[in-house]
Amino acid sequence: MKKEENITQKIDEWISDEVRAHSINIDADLIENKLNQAHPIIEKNHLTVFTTIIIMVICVSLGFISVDKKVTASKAQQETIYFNDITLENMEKSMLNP
Amino acid sequence: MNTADAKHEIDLIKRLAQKETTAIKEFISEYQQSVFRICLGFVHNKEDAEELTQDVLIEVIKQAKKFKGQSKLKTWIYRICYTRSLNKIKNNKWNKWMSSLDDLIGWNEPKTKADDPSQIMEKDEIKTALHRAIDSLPERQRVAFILSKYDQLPYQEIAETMDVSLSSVESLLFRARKNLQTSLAKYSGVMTN
Repeated sequence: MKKEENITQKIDEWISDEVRAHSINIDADLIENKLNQAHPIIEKNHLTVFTTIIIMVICVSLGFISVDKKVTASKAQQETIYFNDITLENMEKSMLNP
Repeated sequence: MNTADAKHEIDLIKRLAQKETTAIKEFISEYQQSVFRICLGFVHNKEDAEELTQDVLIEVIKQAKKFKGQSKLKTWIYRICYTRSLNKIKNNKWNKWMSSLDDLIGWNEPKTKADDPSQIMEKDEIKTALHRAIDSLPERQRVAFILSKYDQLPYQEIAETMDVSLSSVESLLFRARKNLQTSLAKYSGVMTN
């Protein structure tokens, strides 16, 4: 027997074995119950996508807030330094020119 | 299909559209094994195939009102069946991707590679190789092959289900067989035992 024919025959045998090994017996009541169940407004997959989007929006917002806080803090620091410099100069001037 | 069968189908679909309990029971007992076998051919897993079978049967009952009778009921059911199965496989790809990510990170136990045919025989993984080979077939070849081999559907019904000509089915099945022979060639030594 040719090699190819042998493979094809084996494939057929395996599939037959697989099909014979499994069967199903669905309870008609179960199907009826599922049919009568109310449809969820949002499907499970949609809910996952929706949740992911919400989490992403929250993360981005937190990121912006954090950056904004840092910028504000750095500006405040700069202003303090500037204010301190002016104060020292004034003090020097007032010391030199009493 | 003879007129008695056609009449039976029309009657069944009408009663299904009304969601009659007896019609649902009749429909399930008549079609569950065929649908299950096809689903099994696509997903290769009993639990997934059972879940998919239930989904297909429910969809058919829900859509019964929309069935126009342009094709056989069986053909229509098979079409829903393979479309659903292909969608399920596509959805499973995401899970597989996540699983491979877990493998990469190291959360999953590393899988042992068994490319040596004798090793595969020892572990009874040759069927896994067959499943992998079926999965790697182009979509249309896979559908034709599964309908033909898992539910022993005649070529004419496969053609009607897939909406292609009879010669196309023959060609698809010929190419599917050739591709499977190529994919499984390295296991030919194991097969002869």
